[in-house]
Amino acid sequence: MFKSDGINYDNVKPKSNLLSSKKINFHDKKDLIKNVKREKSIRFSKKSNLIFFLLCISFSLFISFNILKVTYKKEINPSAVHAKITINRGKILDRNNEIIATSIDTNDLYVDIKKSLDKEKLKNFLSEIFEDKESAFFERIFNKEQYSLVKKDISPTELNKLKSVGDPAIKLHESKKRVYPQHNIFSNLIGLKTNELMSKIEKNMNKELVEGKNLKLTVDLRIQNIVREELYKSLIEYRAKAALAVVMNVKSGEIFSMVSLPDFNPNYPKSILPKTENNLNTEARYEMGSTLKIFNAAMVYESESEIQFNEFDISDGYQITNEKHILDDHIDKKILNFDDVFVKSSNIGSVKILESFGPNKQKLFFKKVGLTENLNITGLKVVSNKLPINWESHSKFISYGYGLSLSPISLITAFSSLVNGGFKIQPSLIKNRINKKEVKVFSSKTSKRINELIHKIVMDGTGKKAQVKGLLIGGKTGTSKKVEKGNYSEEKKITSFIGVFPANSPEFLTFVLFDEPQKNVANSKETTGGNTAAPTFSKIVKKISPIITKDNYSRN
Amino acid sequence: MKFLSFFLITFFIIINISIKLLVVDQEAEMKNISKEISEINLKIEKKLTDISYSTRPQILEQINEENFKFVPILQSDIIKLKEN
Repeated sequence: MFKSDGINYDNVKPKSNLLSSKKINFHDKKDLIKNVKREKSIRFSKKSNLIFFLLCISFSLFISFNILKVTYKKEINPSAVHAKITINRGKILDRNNEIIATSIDTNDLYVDIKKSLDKEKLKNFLSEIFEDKESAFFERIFNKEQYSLVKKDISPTELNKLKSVGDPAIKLHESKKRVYPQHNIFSNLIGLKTNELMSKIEKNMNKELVEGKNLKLTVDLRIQNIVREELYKSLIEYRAKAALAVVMNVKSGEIFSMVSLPDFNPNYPKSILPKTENNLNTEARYEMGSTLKIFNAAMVYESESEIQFNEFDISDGYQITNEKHILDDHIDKKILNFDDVFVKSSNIGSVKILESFGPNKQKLFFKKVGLTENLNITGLKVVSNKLPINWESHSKFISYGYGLSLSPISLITAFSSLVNGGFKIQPSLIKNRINKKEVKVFSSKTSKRINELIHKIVMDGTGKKAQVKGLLIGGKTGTSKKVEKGNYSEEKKITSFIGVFPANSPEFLTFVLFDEPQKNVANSKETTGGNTAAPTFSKIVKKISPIITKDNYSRN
Repeated sequence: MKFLSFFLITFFIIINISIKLLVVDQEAEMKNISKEISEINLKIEKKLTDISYSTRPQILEQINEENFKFVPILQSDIIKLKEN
């Protein structure tokens, strides 16, 4: 029994841990020291517990943070996930989103001979399915007993047949194939892309296409098809070696159609021949002949020279050099006024007009319209024009279209400036990348007079066959002799027609050129731009104008 | 206090693991959906390509010649319409 301060602790049992603790010493009767120690210990415990608690909280927060951080560190971007799975080469589309080039999933066939259940049977099956492969090919594969490629891009029919074979040796690898649903229609513009080859837009715009970006072009499938079809018919009719045509907006520079024949089917790369590969509109140069004469008229109008009121005597011809004497045999009249020089396409008249200006002014003028510069068109390779080293000695020839070789696209670009109110334009093939910077190089008055003159050429002159019922047409024919073994050939010619519509305020330009046409619509001996390219121009414009004219062009 | 600490830590960890699992699950679901979308897109692409193949101008012309014999609208036809 223990008594203290009158309180009876009879039934109080001391805590066992206190009793068993070695540190507890009972020195004093009232246990004061012990109490003090206990209080200290409790305080320490509280503090340490608090610290421990805080540490625990911090630890758990740290853990939480790390767990969540691990989760959210990778930003979840659904499009990124999507892109990772389906990153395809971008499509090439026309202005109305019609597919020109796209990539599809195909299968490549491999065989793992070692796993074959019945090699002979498998060999026979494969020989039956792939009839185009020689039997020696299968002999070689099966003798090797290795993992071998049989065929890339197998067709759905071949795939179904293979599935019915049911041999474990058949291995299909997923792959991508570039396809061109429009076949030949855009071939010389788009080029092609296979595992080994890449050309034209497929090559020049490869960086964007591999990123999966679609490429929308300014061309229109409907117009391109009409132009190609008509040009092809004419190519056959005239027995020409090659032909080309371009349809372009003279104000914005948008190319609606660009055809070069002969062409190729990009789905069958093996059938491509060297002569079919080039886009002649941008990758070839020609001496254009009389289509260049119109620049003489522009030079006269722009300088408001008095020569436009002169008359030109062409009866005796013109001696350009000691060796070169030119005649205008095709013209009955012997005295021509200024307009007649262009309407009748007189070489002598053109040289006489040039004489009044001199070679330097002519060169400056050609520079002004951009014929001496290199033309850059996004997506296309454009050859530079071949200018004479000595301009002065060639200037008279240049006045009627000889002495300098131009790429068709370069001529079209310069011609557009003459008819569109005098603005320099930049042709474009990629939609939404049209250069809208307007640089005026001629007065509107000059442009208006040029339009009147080229309309007169179509109404009364060499371009009569370019007329289209219901549409005002303006244009200029061109015929030039080709150089053969260092001399101008009398047989081999380049015939062309460059025209615009509607002639009172031109919006669209169409250029047609034939290389070495043998026949013409008039069945005449002389093959000219007027009886080859001009009628083809008319056939093309007749069909495309209802589509291309703004009022009817709702799908733009 | 120790019990409370232990409880809190456990609670935090359970909550975090749950969140983590939920997020992982959602992520997987999103990937599956994305995959499905891309597969559907591929199918659409294939169909569009098929449509482009079967509606290319030469085929349409062939169908027209065989069945309909429509003639193209020319500029002169438009003038006639205006006159009428």
